[in-house]
Amino acid sequence: MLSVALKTLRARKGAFAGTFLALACASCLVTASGVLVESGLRASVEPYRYAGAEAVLGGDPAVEFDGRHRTTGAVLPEPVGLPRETVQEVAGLTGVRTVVGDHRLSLDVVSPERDGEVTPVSGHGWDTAPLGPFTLVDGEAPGDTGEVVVDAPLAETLQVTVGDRVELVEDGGIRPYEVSGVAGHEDDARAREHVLFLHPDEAARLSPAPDSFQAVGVVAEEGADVDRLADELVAAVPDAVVYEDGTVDRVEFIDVGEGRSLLLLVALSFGGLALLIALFVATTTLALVTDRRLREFAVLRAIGATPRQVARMVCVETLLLSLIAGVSGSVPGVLVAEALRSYFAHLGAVPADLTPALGPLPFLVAVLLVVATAVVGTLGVAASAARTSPVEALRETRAPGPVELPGWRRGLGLLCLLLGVSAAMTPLGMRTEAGAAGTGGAVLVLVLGIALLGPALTGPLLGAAGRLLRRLPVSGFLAAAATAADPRRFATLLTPLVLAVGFTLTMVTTQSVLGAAAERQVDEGLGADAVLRATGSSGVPPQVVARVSALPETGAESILRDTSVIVRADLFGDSEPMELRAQGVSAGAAGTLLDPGVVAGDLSDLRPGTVALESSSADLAGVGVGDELEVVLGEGTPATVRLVAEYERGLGFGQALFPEQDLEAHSGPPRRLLVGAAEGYGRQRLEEALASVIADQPGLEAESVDDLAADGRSESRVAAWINFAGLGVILAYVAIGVLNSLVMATAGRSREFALLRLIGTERRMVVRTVLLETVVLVAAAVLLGTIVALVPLSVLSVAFLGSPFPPWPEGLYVMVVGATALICAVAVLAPTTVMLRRHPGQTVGADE
Amino acid sequence: MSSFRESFVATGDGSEIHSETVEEIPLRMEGVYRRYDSEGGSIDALADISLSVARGSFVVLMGPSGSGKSTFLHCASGVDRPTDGEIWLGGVPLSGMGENDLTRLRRERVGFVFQAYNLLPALDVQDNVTLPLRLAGAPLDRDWADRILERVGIADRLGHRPAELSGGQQQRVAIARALIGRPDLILADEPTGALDSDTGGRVLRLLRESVDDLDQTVLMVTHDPVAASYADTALFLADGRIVDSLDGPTAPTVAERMSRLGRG
Repeated sequence: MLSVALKTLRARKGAFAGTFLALACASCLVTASGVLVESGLRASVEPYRYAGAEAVLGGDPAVEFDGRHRTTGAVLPEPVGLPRETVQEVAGLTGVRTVVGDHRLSLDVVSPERDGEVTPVSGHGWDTAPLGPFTLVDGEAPGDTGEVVVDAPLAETLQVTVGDRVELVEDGGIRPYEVSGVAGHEDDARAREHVLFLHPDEAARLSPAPDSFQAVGVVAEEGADVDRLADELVAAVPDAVVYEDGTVDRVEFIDVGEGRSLLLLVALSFGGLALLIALFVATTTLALVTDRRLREFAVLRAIGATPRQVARMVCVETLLLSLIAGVSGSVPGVLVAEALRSYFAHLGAVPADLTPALGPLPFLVAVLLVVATAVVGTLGVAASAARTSPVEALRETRAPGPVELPGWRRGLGLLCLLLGVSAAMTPLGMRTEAGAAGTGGAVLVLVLGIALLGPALTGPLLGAAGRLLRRLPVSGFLAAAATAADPRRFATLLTPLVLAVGFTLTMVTTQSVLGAAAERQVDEGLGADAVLRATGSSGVPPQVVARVSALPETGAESILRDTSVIVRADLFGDSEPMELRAQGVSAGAAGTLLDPGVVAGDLSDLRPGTVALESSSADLAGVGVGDELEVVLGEGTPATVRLVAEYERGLGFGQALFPEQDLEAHSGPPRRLLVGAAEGYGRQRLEEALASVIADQPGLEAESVDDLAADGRSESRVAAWINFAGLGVILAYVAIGVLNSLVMATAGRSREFALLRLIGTERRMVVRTVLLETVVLVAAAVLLGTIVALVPLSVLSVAFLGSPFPPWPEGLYVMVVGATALICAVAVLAPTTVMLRRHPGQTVGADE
Repeated sequence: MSSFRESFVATGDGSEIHSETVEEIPLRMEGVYRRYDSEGGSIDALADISLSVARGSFVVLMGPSGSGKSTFLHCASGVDRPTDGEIWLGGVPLSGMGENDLTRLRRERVGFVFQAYNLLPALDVQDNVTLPLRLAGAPLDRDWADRILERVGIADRLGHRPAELSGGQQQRVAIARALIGRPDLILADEPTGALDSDTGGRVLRLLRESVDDLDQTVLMVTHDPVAASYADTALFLADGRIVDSLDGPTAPTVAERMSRLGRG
């Protein structure tokens, strides 16, 4: 059968071109997501400050939960430190020349112009210089705690040299240091951040956790066996992770890890979606090709091919075709991946210098998956080919197949609709961003149901459309007849269109529902009159908080500490780690400055050792008010806290509220201070008083309450753009698929058009007929797509906004309908015009 | 020629003695009914058909539209199953056979020639002709193939695709394909229906020669009296029953019988 399949493919290039294109594009998409996944797993940035170290030790960022059946894990959201003693434990090992612990300090240098601006720098003890290695190019090492060494790029930025003064932002003001030297790195050009070296004692003093190091760097002796050293390091410090060649960036740069996990996350969801949709599109085109070949199969059957032989031939054809398509599509996939990556870098979500990792695996996986997808998609086609009765070959005219749906398909279709509707309910039980993600999945499953029910569902639709069309003269009647004659073809073409319409509407509207909900929650819940925001990296210092608190204009104040914590969610008896966006707030002020919408318990009970949770998160964690809850704080410290309140404004204020003291040593510095005006003082007076505080403390600025809400939105906007990028690529693929299958379906009607022409139909009438058919198709797609999107969106809107009518982006709707109509019109008109140009007599006489 | 006619039997009750052993009869039917259920009761598309087609004979089945010709052909080839009665292909009873066994039997014992669309468009002449052997996994008999290809007159067209051939050439390729596996029976369904009379004549002569020179057996369905004149025997089908037969048919005699059928 192989040679027959090969010959068929070679001879009917035209007929298979469409399938080839669909499969090649699928391969392109899957390769792209594969390349992104690999980058997410392996991409790296060349180390800079640790470039001279043979190995660097860091705390273990993995956290594990033992469930009843299996162990699940998560990655800690905050950097994890190592105890001070690690340095001594490593120092004794053979082959170690230098071992040094690094406090990674987030510092701000006050600009020489004294305009309140600051330059964020990465601060370290001078003893870590050999890890770079940094060497002095001018001056000398810091001799006491009042001296610093700056690296050459920083010296240039600040316009300072040896003997000059630099000022660092410090709690309650600024502290001057004298520049004792300027350090150079052999690779200055690669610097990703400004580096400032302090005296080691001063670095320890400034560290929020002086008893631990963020990393411990090891420089080996000349000629030492580095592999053996690494093994010994693992043995000596079992709690640490040893980073070597190629992975050192993971402990050196925090943004690299964030960028990589983003790539991974996006690529996995994007890839899964792409694969599912590829299955849709490939099945559609394969079904169309098969429809046109029924007579061929019938002849085969009549001259003695068994059903199995016919099925095998179809499968072998697909196998060969998908193999070629898979290979040729995977190469441009790299370009798509690169385009997405650079777009993410442009958004600032991924470090621009993150070098993508490129191995053979994504290509291999893409080709395999495309082949598997195509073969799975062919099984149904092959079955119908095998079922072809030889009688078909004996018939003069080929009638479209019966519309009778097999029972399994009906059942499966209904099941999909049911599953889709229940998946759409997810946001009701999980009022978080993660819960909102259920909406997209619901749409996919609903469309799958529609695809399975296909003709049974479109039949009534077509009946209604037909009655309307028949009122129009000639073309209307012809269009109605043509659409009704082949409901299967119609259903096949409809599915990818419904998917495109429904999916676009859902994805975009979900974002606007979430945005609107977050905005409303912040608007309603924020009782502060003014906000102070840290512009540098050192945060809002405690003395500033104290000063603000002492102002007579201040009624209440609360710092906001952003972090994440991990709790156990119990799913089917197994513990799943669930990451919650958490805020640390000043205990007393929580209720007044920030009202998260308490639905149970009392927020005034929030004091050290307690927590308040967004109510659906509390349900998932299986706790109620008064219960104890085990929490893993950002950098891995376990804690047991008591739940004192549940609230509903989780999108605006995060899913967990802690008293800020409980988070202090376990997260970065606070970024904001919320301030409420005291009785008798207006917002105006308060802002004036705060202005004087800002004037004394560089690195702070006043932010309006509206800006605070907008800032949260801009973060979610970046996430939205990332989603849109993936959606855009997938939609482009669906568009190609739709274009493809419409062109194929139209081109298959050349005889019909020629016949119409021969019996006296004008070209104009034929064109109008196909246009009317297209209108019916687009209208049906928009109708079904809107229904499919509206079901989960209404639920989402009820969950987050309390109304079943989602904020409907009208411009988007017009765009979706317009784009769908345009694509369909082009795909139908182009082949029609070409066919009408041919002489009808020739076409009717020609073999199919 | 007379011996062919003697060995052919077509009677109402099928009980006539014939001179061959049962195994050698290419097609035999006994009391075959094909009933279709419809709204107002049931319709017999075939009713009480009993006949034997002897080896080396050329039988033509004639009848007006709706007389049951297609159903007869479907049943004779095992594509459709009779409601009642038994059919033997080359002595093998068809009742109780599964779809795969039927297909295999059809592959080995029957060659098909349709009115049109006989050939797979993607394959060239040679591949189209040898396809049944390939499907059966049977070896190619070179001498036999050469003989057939030469006889049907397409030996110089082996590398051409169907689209590059005329209608008559395509039908001759189809006959070559039907012959390639030396079937017990060639079933031809209006093989000249789409051809002009000259080209049609060549195709019919070819079928005649297959019987005379290659010792094949042909059962052809047609409504063309001229086409029927190439056969040894003409059977007349009306309302699902064989109502008449004519040995050594000529175009005028067949036309005369047909017009009588039409009136009756």
